[in-house]
Amino acid sequence: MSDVLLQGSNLHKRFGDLHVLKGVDLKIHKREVVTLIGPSGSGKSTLLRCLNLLEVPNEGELVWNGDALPYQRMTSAEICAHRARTGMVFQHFNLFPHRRVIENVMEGPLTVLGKPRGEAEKAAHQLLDRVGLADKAKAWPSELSGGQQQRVAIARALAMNPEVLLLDEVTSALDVELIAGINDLLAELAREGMTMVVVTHDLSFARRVSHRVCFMDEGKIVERGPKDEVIENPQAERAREFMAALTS
Amino acid sequence: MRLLLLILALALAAPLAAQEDLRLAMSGAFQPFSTTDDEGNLVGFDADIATVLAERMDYRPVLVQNDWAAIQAGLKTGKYELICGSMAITDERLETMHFTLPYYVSGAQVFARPGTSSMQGLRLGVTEDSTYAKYINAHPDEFPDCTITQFGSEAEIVAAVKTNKVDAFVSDRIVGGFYIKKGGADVAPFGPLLYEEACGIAARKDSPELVRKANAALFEIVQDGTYARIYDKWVGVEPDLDVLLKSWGDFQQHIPHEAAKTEPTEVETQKPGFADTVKSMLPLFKTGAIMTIQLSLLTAVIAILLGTLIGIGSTAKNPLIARLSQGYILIVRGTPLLVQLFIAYYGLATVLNSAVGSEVVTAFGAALIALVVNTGAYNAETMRGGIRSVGKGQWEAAASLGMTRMKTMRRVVLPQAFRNSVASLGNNLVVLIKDTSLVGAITLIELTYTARNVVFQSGHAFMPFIVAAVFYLAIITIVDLGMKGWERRMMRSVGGKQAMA
Repeated sequence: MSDVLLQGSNLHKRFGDLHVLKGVDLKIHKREVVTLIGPSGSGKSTLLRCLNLLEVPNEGELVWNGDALPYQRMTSAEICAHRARTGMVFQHFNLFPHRRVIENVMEGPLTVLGKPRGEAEKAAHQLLDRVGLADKAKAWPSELSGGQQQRVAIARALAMNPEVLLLDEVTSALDVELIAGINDLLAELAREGMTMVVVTHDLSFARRVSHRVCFMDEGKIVERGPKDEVIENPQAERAREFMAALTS
Repeated sequence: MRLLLLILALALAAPLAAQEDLRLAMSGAFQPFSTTDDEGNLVGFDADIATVLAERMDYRPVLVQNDWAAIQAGLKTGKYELICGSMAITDERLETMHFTLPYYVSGAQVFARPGTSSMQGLRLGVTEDSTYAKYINAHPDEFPDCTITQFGSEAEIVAAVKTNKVDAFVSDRIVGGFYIKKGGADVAPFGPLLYEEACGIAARKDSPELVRKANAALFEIVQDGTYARIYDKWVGVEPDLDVLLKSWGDFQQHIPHEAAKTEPTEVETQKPGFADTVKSMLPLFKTGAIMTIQLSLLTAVIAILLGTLIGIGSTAKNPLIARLSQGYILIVRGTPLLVQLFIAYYGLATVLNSAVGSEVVTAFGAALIALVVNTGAYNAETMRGGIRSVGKGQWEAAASLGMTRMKTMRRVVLPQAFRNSVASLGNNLVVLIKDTSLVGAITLIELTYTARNVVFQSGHAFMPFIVAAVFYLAIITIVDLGMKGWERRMMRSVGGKQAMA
């Protein structure tokens, strides 16, 4: 068995007339951190959301751990099961505002994995401790800062013991001084061997944490490779312009 | 120029208008005595008599249609000067009103299905606030084990007979006969007349002069044959004038005298004080309030469930479910509750009861169904808004954890939808409590109906309604406080600022 966790080939996604993904190939190896960068509207988020079937592709193949994912024929239960093993964190956190912090973290294990409450609660406390919010277990999401809410969201995703973490611009909505904290946390996860696919505009994060970088433009990956090559010395013209604009 | 013409026309019309109006009230729901024609004008024996009498008294007749239950209140509050509406003269009514000489004599008659052998255990319909209802109450031995249901008019009673809600009814022999012929109900007079009664024209105690004028006019039209002509036209037979004249002899003592001017104040002091009335009627109000609260609470609970289901349905991905739910909301919100109550009572309940063969849907059941269906639609619309207001991000967050659509709805979306809707759901509940005042139309005696009964029994024209209003206010205030408490509990998670969601 190879060490490829998730592979997409020739993925297409259309929203009505809008052709957002125009044949994307992507391979995610286990314990690898892959960063997707590129201008707004280039299809990064859509690609990410196709990986956990939050969006169902129109065309192309998905392979998970060597097995094809026949997404067009999967039942909703099978789709749910696939989403359960792929954690996702959103730009706007999307915490459940009517549940306390600890309940947010416990929700998945309780309702999806069917874990006993005591076990779920113990695990949730450990995760909150890990993201540095042990004292906020009983707080409401609305009482937390943006950075703290995003930590809870990460803990919520980790609580499902996912095999890959999909991060969709998780620091874009945060104040600058809070970004570093989140990045430290993600770097630590990467060091521990968590497989991650990261959509970001934060080049310093891509440099620091990721192994490989894919540059997307107009629904295609136009450049890919080790992070130093793509970020420091891009070959594609669009990539060069983009990096120059971000680093200037 | 046009203005000038208008002024000219008014000036010419002015002398004609010098004749004073005389307003005479009738229910318009008591054929053949009073009813309305195709254009909504009051017609019938009462209408013709009222018109002729007013003209003979040198007034211009203005006929007023007024609900029977409130017809005395209308007289007392000066909405009209006379009631010419087949009102039987009784000792009780003579205490609060003057009456003219009787203008016709009729009697109370039981109408039952052919083949009925005894009164034993019949379900009996009767018009609310009628002398028949009083008679039945006062003579329980003549109606052994009968269940009595009160209706708003003879027309509704005939509908109730046809839909098998009652087996028999008590009414005026002429009126009952007329409705049976017209409505096709399968009943016939049963037994002898319960009693004879004479109907007079009622006036306020402060207008004996009007009564004397009316008596003179009545005498005149009986003498010149106008009366007989009108009677024949509407009742279909010649009047028995001997019976009428005999009733005049019996009535002599009640003709108001000159000194009557001072009577109103005397009457006021003789009448039991309002405080006493309220005290003696309090048990009635309590019973009415319990009915109002029972209906409201039961409906509130079921309608929240129904509203939630339909609300979810209206946002469903399945187009059939969404269309059905939205159609339900559209139809129910687009029709009046009163109409829904009648459909539930005379339609749905009847169909179900006859299908099952026993009375599975009572009047209370029918009211509950109509109120639940009605409030459910408003709640559904509220919940639909509440569900829609939960952001897409919440659905995605739940989906990314692997939650199914249904689980997401139940655990994530609905709790937030409730939180967003709680104020509006509370508002629907308050509207519901007030809407229960309509169920009197299908014979349930709740607060408003109780107040109307008390008005009739006590002679106080509007204070019983104030008492009912105080009861409503108390109930709604308590409910409101409860809802506010719930709202605060629901809102605790949001704190002072809006959650990021």
